[in-house]
Formats: sequence, C-alpha cells, structure tokens
Amino acid sequence: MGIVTRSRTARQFERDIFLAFFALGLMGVVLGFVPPSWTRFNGQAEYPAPLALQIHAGLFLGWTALMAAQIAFIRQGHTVFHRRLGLIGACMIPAMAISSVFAETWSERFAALHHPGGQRFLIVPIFSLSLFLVFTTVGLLLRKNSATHKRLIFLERDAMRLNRITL
Amino acid sequence: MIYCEKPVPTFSHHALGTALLFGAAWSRVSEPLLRPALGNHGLGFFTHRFIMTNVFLVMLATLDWRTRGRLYRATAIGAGVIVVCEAGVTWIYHKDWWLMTADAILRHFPGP
Repeated sequence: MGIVTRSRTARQFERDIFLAFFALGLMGVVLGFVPPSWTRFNGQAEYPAPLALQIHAGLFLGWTALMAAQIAFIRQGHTVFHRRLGLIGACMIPAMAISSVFAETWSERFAALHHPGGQRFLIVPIFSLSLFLVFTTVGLLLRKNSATHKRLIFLERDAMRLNRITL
Repeated sequence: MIYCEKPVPTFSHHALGTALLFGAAWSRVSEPLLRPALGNHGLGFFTHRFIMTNVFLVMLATLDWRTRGRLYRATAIGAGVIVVCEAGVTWIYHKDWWLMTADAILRHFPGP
C-alpha cells in the first residue's frame, strides 16, 4: 500500500505562494480602483453610479475580503470556518453575476453615447464574467480536492484581474 | 512504501518572489510603454492584458512544478481556457459585426 505524504515545507511553500498571489491581486485592486473611486467620491465622476454599479462594487469588494478571510482561516488551520464562509461565498456568486450584467451594460451604454464604438468593450466583461462563473462553480463543486479547489479559485482571480486591466 | 516529496529548495521562494515583483512592475510599466505606441484599446491594450495573464499562469505552473513535479490538470485546462478566451476576445473586439451585436445586446438593458 502506498501512502503519499507531502512535506510540511512543500505545503507551507504552496500556502505562501497563494498568499502572495492574493496580495498581488489586492494590489491590482488598489491600483485599479482607488483612483476612479477617489474621483467619484469627490463628485468628479463622468456619470453618477446607478444602483446596479453600487451593488456590483460592494459585492466584489466583499468577495475580495472573503478571499482574504478564507486564506487566513486555512493558514491558521480553521477549516470549519473556511467551509462555513465558503457557503456565504457560494450564495454571493449569483448576486455578483446579476449585478455585473446590469453594471457593465449600463457602463457600456454610457460609453456608446459619449465615445462611439466604445461599446465594443462589452466583450471583455462577458468573457471575464463567464470565466468567473465557470472557475468558481467548478472550484466549489471540487472543493474536496483541496489542490484543485485552490487552483480553480486562483484561476478565477486571474480571470477577474483581467477586468481591472484597462488602459 | 511511503513516498515523501523532496523539500522545496529556498531558491524557489526567491524565483517566485522575483516573478511576483516582475508581474507587479510590468503591470505598471507596460501601460505607458504600450499605450502611446499602439493606441487606446488597440493591440497595445490586448498585448498588455495577454502578458499580464500569462505572468500569473506561468507562476501557477511554476508552483505546480516545484510542489508536484508536473502540472495539475486544473492548471493545465484552466490556463488553456484563459489563453484561448483572451485570444478570442482580441479577435472578436476588432470585428465590425461585434459592434452591431453589442449595440443589439445593449438595447435590451437599462442605461443612460
């Protein structure tokens, strides 16, 4: 009978790397969203944020906080809390998807009015949202395989990170 | 028989730390480099996105290689899907039919 064990060093290394990935993603959020948010809070935004956009921003900010908490729970060995919080995350996914559809289409309609042709950009959030749904859903379904689960959630983060890369 | 993975060498941390710093630096440096040369939402935009995506995918692949010796199936399939989607987005974005399709889609949603 073969027993496969993973050295503590390897496991810790993997956890450190996922923490670093998350930190880098968080840096992307700060660099990508703080300047336009600051402009908006100062009343200098191009257009007032509709309710869908406000909900969308709140949910995705909550998702980022949830990811941070999940990583912290796993690093501390609190897998029970990790699983409970995961249930909340699973409930957030449909709301995030619906709010994204309305927030993105509102923004693209604004772009179409003020920058003709700008509505082409709609394809970017369509693909990002699709990848987000695929990776999170499969990641949650395969949650018992921790290595696959965390990789799929990482891939979701990578796909969503793309949405923040706008020149 | 008990199989144990070999301990991860310290230089892996250094290599991945370097890759992380490179990714962070590239994300800020490539924008001003590519934008004036290739235009807003032109190929520069998509090149920037493509490279940023792949930096992270390469890092994930490196992690798999260091901890397991080969790619996890999730990494291989997921990375493949992301790269294909990125290429697809770039192709569709520049097609005239997409502009009309986007208009048709947006007409069904509320907005200004």
